[in-house]
Amino acid sequence: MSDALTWLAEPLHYAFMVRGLLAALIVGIVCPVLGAYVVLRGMAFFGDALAHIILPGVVIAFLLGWPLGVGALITGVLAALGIGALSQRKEIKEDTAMGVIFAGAFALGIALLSTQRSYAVDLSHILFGNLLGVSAGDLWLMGGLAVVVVALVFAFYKEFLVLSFDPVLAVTLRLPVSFLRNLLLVLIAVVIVASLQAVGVTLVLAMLVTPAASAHLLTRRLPGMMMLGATLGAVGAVVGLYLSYYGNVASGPAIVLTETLLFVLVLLFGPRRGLVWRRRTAGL
Amino acid sequence: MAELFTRPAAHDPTAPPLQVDGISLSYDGVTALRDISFNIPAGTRVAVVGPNGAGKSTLFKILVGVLKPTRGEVRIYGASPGGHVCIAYVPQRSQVDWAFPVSVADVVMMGRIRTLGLFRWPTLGDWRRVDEALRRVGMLELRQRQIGELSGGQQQRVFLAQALAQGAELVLLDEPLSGLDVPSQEAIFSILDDLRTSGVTTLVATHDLNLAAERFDQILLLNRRLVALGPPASVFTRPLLLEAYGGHMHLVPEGEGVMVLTDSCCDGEEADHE
Amino acid sequence: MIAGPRWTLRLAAIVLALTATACAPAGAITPPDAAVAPEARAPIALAPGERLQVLATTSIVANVVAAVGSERVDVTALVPRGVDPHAFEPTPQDVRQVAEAQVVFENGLGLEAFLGDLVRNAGTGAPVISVSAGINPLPAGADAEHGAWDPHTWLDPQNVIAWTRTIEASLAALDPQGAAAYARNAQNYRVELEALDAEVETRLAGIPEAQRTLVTDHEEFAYFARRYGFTIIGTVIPAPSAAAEPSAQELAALESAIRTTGVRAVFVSSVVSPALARQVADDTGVQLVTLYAHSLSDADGPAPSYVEMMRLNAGLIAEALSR
Repeated sequence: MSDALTWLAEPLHYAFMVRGLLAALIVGIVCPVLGAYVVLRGMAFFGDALAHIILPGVVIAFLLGWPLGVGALITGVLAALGIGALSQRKEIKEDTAMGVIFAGAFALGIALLSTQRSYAVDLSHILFGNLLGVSAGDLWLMGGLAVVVVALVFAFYKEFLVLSFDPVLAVTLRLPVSFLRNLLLVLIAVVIVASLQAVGVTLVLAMLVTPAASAHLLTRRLPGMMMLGATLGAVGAVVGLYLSYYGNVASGPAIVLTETLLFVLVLLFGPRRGLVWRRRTAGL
Repeated sequence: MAELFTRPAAHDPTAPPLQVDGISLSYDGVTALRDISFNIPAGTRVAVVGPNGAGKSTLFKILVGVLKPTRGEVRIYGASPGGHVCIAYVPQRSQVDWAFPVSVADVVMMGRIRTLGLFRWPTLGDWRRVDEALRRVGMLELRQRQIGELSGGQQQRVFLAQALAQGAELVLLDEPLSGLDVPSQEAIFSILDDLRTSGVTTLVATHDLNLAAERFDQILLLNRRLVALGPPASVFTRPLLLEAYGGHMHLVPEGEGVMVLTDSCCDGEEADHE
Repeated sequence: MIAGPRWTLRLAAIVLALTATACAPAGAITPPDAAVAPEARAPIALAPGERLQVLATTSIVANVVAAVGSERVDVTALVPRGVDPHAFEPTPQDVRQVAEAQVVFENGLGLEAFLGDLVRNAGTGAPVISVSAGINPLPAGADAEHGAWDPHTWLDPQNVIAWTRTIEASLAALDPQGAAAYARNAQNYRVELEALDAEVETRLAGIPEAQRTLVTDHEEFAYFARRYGFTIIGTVIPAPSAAAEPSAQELAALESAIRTTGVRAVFVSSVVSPALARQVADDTGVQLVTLYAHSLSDADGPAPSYVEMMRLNAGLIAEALSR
């Protein structure tokens, strides 16, 4: 028994591991809360696009020596509002518009970074996260953003609920639909920014979508979906981090793989909606 | 943003609940609705009928405020729809996301969102109002069910309960009876009767001309423009029906009356105009 | 004709050939002329007053070549000062520079991973000379791939002395008229290097035995450690290149090692991002010191030439470890 305890405690002797764990926990808990809306409203592509569009902002901040979070936040908010406005236009299909901007912005970010002449490591950190390099300052920023996001979701809970369930109903009930939709997009952008250090631009989509998707299979009420999502997110984050420590693999991808595995388990064995369950009950 | 803080518009009780003046809607060179004007007195139950593509859903969306007309004006109790929270729109069942993780009670509570206001959570009093609305539609025992687990008739009743919880005085229902068996339809009508007794004005889009003729006070015959508005006997005449349905209709003499066969059926026929 | 004994034999031959080339030692990317002995290179006729156009990879190589070639050569460095040569990405402009050079000097031993393709793309006939060719290299760390070498030879002035011989011979072969000048310059420079070597040794002598331990950001100081009697406790990135990533356990092991051995400082090369090294230093409560190990500084900086660079490093190391 004490062996298991040593095994659990060993990584925690190192300050960088504790910081990494806290960062992963923050990301694992907050992403699925917004992720519930992303999953229910089919916004996965938007989330992915937003993460990649943030890249040039991060790179510019990096080249100017500013904190990366600042560049990411500014770009993220602008991008969210821009996409929100663009998707109201009828001339271009929302899907296409986002695809064009997504690819263009991403290319711009890499092009800018390549002016630095030796950029492989920095690019890898931005794309895949750098959980081992989380500083105390980074943790404060992530924590602060997380608190703001959760507070706003809580404050506007019922309004977001109506907006996500039925946008026409939201108009009928005279809710400030534009404001609410833009706020939701901005909150998603903020959560992405908070998660960049842990899992990077390329994998943040997984943290938004996968735990929430697992939760969706397990519960029938939205609050439950958020809390279960946050729990699965946290569990996956911790397990993933330990996996990366003892297995000598990169931490961001390890966390995402754990979340994916959890999803597969839920898909197969979940009560009521799991495939195995359905097979059994169908055969009766 | 300003909408967060606007007060609901004041009702003018002397004005009719619904007053439509010269409404037109065109887009990309297509005219969806042309120059529609009518008044509906309070407490009337109106059936809105017409062939596929006549613009029934479009008209409803304009009345509710989701679409803006290219020309013309809508007045609800004397004021424009923008300020009012007393209009309820019951969508076609196919337009609803039944997989959404909300319970019956949750959906009904949505109707009270403006009463609750920002940053406030529902109180026990609010839940009691919700339960009251559910009781009136006969859905109280199912309040905890996720909405996807309900039958067609039950789903319809949930949204009616939402309209009740909202305190709506004007209720628009889009094809509520399609796909329902007779007992379920009767259940809906009994609720509509209840609404009429309370003085609520209802507009119901339907394809079922027989039902329209039998159970409704007024018929609004629509085919992109207003063909007729009046009691069933005066609207369901051969020339008016021909005018509205044109080639979509076949009249078959049947004993003392005429059987009308139309090809309007089912949902999703009108081009979705956003 | 698909299956048949002759076809199978041919396939086997191809597979064998491919595996044979794949097993070539990593340090030996063969630039076109490496196999040709310096003396056997075809000389280039220079007009009076015309200089030999030389391209060097890093600023350090450029500096040493310029010391030997002096007024008979025009040396440019491919990798700008302050840029990490391990992760350097060439642009099309760089291809042009390679094409226009009459001779290219590289450090060799795998430092310039980018050079092979660059030379091929330039399609140039110019000889590519590895200045570290005559040196007995150290293997690259315990975890490195089979056959990899540690390329950081220049951190031991004795190796740079060996460089000058290779450079001298190559330049003389290409430009026989300048042979005497090259020999003279090289000899003078070697004297300077020997003096530097002695000076560094003296400077470091004051560090007690127990403190003669180094923790660096990646495996770069092996030759230095061997020459001046230091032990390398560990590196933040356990690889000869800064373009690699440490795993969590490797970082943990390093921090433990720092705490156990009482190391006083973590040294980081000026060209890499110090973030991870700084974090290790902060977490273990030791200093973070920046050394010039891959590149010279700008002309008005503290390390504009190789000799000044080594002097600066020696001073910084002595100061950090003698506290």
